[in-house]
Amino acid sequence: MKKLKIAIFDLTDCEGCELVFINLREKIAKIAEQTDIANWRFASHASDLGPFDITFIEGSPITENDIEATKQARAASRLIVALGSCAETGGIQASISEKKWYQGIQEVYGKDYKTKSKPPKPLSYYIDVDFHLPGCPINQNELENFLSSLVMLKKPEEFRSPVCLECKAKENVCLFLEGEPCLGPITKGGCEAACPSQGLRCWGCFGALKGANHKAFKLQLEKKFGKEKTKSLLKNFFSNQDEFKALYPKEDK
Amino acid sequence: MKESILGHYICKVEGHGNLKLDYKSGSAKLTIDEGERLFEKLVVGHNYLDAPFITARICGVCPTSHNLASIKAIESAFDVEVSPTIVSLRKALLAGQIIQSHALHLFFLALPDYLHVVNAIELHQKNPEIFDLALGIKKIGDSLVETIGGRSVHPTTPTVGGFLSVPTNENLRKLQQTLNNHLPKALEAVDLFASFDYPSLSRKTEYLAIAKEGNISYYDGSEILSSNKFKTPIENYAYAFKEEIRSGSTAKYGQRDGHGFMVGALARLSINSDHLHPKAAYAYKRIWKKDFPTYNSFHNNIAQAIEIVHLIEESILEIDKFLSDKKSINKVPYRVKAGQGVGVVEAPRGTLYHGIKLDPDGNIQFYDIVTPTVQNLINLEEDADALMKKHSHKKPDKLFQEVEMLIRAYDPCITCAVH
Repeated sequence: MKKLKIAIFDLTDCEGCELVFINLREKIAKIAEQTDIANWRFASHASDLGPFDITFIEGSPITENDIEATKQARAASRLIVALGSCAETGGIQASISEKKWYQGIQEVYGKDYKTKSKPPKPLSYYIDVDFHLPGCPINQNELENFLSSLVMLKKPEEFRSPVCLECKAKENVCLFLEGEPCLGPITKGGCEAACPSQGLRCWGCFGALKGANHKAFKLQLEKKFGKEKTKSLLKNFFSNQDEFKALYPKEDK
Repeated sequence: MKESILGHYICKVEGHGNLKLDYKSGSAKLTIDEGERLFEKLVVGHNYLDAPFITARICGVCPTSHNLASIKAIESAFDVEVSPTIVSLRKALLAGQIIQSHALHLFFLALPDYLHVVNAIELHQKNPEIFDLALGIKKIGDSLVETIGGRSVHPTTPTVGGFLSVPTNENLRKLQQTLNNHLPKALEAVDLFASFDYPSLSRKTEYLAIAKEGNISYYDGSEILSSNKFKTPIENYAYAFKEEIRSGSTAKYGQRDGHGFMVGALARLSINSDHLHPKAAYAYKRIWKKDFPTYNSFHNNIAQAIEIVHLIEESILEIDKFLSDKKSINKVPYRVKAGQGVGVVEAPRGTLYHGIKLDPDGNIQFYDIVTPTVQNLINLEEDADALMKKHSHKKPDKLFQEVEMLIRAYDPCITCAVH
């Protein structure tokens, strides 16, 4: 049987999600034996041009090159996987409004500086995406399961319950009830409640959970933390998502 | 630009950079093409507690360095003094971060050039012994950061005043055991990297790092120390060097009096090696055998390997200190107030500065970040020019490869260098 041809691309981001591939240590060697990792700039000299069976894209398309590469990758790949929250939702770097983004560039680089970049958007703004591995960073076990499914030519399952389910299963103290602005109830799980298990509130990095009662939760947050703070909390990771846009239809993006 | 998907970028470095060589004049230009990320603007208006979480996301390879530098900047603004046991645990965590990053760089990014393989994963079949060594060292760094920081990429436990949660004594003892078991492997790694035939290069430059009472100190240096005997308190970092903006590049370029300077493992060991623990001192004097400074930036690889030994020893000692204090507290109380502060650590690639200004409610009014790679870029270009002139008799593709190897030896983190 022919080996699956895999590419891993990174756009503008922190490269933490592709690092999770290397953090699989022994297991990544096993995966590499059963597949053909044909293009991976971060860790390899191999730079095959495709076509690829599966292409992982990490980061947000921001520069002209990012946007062009995103389109090229789509054309050269059977399946596209958005790797991490920057690819899936724009991530934390997209939590700034477009107006502030252009202002920020002038403040950081000076008036004479001309940018060729565009404010960060999710991959899906430019191309069709087949699968998502959410998170900032992605969860190592999810990645392993996903890769195993691919190697076995099985469609990876995506079932999402809120972070709270995993958090309760670990018998953690509820940070929301303790007064923290924890976004666990409205955030997609899969992270094994990584943050709340250590006492850090959920920031929502896996993205807004479809079907959760976002409106009611927003009211709860506003009661405790006020309107402005609530918006800023939800904006960190949800700003490009429909759930956020439904709550704040007039928000400049 | 090659007709390939992202293929024109230098591979096996963090982030997106292009290399242009002018073979006639013997000069190299490194242009940076990572998108603007604007983290310094992103955090403005946020509550102070958000800064360590958000700024960690600048870099997936050294998030813990950013996280700790940010926490230290806030603590300095609030005049918080954390307990010695918290400092010990943070020192071990930072050591883990540097080991993680050095292991990634040495084995996964740099090594393939010297062993002539396409990528490190190929070694699994072609040279399983070295592959095991790579995974062993990577695992030590990962275990330290996972146990103390909560997660391998983007830590969850550190916070202003201390830690949100600390590992159990049992887990820390297990960790110490792993560290002890892996010390011989770290010495093997020094042996391996000392055995390579690095391209010849010698160009005098200035090295900078932070120090405490004259000794290099990764977590709590109070002054910037240079190999030219220049010294200034860390708070004066803006006067120690300048950040230059270039059109067509999203990174800034650090310079001192019109010249490049170098930070990172090689800089730290070139300024002085008095801080090295016994096994690391042995690795330096008995395995590597040459004295720093050698003024050959390829030797940053060796310096990183020696630092791995030192930092394993350091974390074993710091965990001991933490465990021996029976009344240790995880977090000290503090009062939110207006103020400004500077937080500095030695990150894997060199000195990392975070500067913050807060209003009376603890909301962020101003944030400044100066990363190691920004400080190294001009020096890197100056080195590349020197390399091209010295090796001008070589064929262009060979020369191109050597300049790429030089860039990799610096272990640049372009995602960090972009503002």
